[in-house]
Amino acid sequence: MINDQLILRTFLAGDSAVTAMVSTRIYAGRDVPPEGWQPADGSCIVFKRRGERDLDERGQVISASYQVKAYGTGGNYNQQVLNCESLYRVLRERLNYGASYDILGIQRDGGAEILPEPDTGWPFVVSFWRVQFRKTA
Amino acid sequence: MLHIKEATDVMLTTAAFAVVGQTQVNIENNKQVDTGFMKNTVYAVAPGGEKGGIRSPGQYKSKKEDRMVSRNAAPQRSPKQDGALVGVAAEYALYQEMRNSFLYRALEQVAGSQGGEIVAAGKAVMP
Repeated sequence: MINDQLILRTFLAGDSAVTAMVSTRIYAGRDVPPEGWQPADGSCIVFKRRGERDLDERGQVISASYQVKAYGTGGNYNQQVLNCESLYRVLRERLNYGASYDILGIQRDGGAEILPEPDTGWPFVVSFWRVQFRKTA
Repeated sequence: MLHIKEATDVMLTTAAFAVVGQTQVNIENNKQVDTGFMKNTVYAVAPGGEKGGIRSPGQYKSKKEDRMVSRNAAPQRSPKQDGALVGVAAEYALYQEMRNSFLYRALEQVAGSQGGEIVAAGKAVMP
């Protein structure tokens, strides 16, 4: 079994530039931040798999696509926009053509658009990434 | 070369409309239908520019809210040169797609279906 979302979260959390901005606020398997989170609590990353397929018959390599949302901290909308864009830049540095022992490669799958969350108005940058994982155990 | 181009266009068009159909099925399966506006604004644009009709923006009856609600359209796009395009012209479709994917999933489903009908459509054009 390839625990893809755990691997991807670990990959993001292993980057000091990412953790400098979000600390441990990297939420896997979600499309919105957890209940109770507010921009004043600090920037955060929320990601979710939107599809996957095996690249070989034995399931040793899978290719999955993720939507990754970057939310920025700040006391007002403008600060939140600036901070979510900054977080996206750091995320892009980490993800674009990234690799690790478990991750064979990462490519952008589209996106990078600032949108407001319909219920709260909080801005976020959404981007889409394709990641190839290999089974390592 | 002309036949290959023609077959390619037919295959692209067939694939695009297969994605449209699968997207609509996914919207139903995901239980993302309230007024039906989003489901009826899934569209494909073929390489030649032809596209299917879609529902117009306006007031629609919401099943959840049991009242008329406003449904707005997003700008429709055109494919890049020699391509086909599938889109959803409901303004809020991206948010629904982020909650529970219907369009991306449809692309993967059609891509994984071995393309039987798509290949058949291309073969039908070739001499």
